Amino acid sequence: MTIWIAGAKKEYRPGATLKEVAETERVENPVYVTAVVNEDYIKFGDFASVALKEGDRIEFVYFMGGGGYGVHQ
Amino acid sequence: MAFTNEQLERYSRHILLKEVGVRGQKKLLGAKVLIIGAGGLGAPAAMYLAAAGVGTVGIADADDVDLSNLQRQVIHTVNDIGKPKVESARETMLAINPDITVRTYREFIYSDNIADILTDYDFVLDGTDNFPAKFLINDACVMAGKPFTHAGIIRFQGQLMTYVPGQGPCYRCVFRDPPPKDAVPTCRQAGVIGAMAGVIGCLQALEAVKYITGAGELLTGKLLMYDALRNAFHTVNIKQDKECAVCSDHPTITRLVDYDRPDCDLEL
Ligand SMILES: [Zn+2]
Repeated sequence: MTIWIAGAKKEYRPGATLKEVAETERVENPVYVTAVVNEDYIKFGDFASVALKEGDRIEFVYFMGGGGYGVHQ
Repeated sequence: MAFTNEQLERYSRHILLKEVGVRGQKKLLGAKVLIIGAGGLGAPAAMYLAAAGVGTVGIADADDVDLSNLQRQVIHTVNDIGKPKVESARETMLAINPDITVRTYREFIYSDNIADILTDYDFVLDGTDNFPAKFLINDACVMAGKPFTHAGIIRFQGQLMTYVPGQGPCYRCVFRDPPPKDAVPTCRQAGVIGAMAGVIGCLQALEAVKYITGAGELLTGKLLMYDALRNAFHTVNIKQDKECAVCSDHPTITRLVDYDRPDCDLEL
């Protein structure tokens, strides 16, 4: 299936979970990442239970403070 | 209020813009903007807001200027090392534009002083580097009904969003709670490219100018992310969390709290 991650088109197996996608996309320190799927906020604790669908738009939103809290691939 | 000849000349490039014009420039001159943090984000924002003729700019910071700040905090110079940042910032802002008033607050913000500081301002810029301060600014602005713009920067990346009461999500809608203190590495580990503070701090200044003049659309209901290494500006739609602890109809946070701060309270 085709999904969109940060605006880029990606191919995943149908029903892939958000956890699989986060791993494949090498999201760093995902415990402190919020995913926005379409317009819903999904916390890391729920990544494994969210099965994605064709056309879903996924964003990984990182805490950004200052020069200390590095969280990105 | 009529413009002086000097003001007409100084602000002529604004006045030419149909989105600003004489009306918008008058609004800017009558506006009061508070910048929290005179660091990497606050520095360019303060300079552009001063140059723009924002009539009153407040700037809050307890730190003194240090050599390691100068890689990105362009409002300060080597001659300012050891000076309070708010003093150094005020001198630069007034050197750019003596037409404005600069109010300084040589203090860090906490639950017991933030409400008093922001009460007199129309718009707030979050130029802090740490999550306890960011959540405090968010909660205080939501409770006081003040619009503010959040920004964060790290390495070659930055993010930005603007909260306007009743018009979209707050910072807590998206980020919910500060990350645990123990999870945060020291402030010196990750680094940030100096110009990122300039890009994102200028975008915060633009949000303030857009809010004051009414030009265009704000980043309300949107989180803008910039990745300099990939040349990508990207906007994510964000919505109000109906369960948000502070901005929903049934908030569970009804008074301000101070979260533990990291030991190193460096400014951006
Ligand atoms: Zn909220």
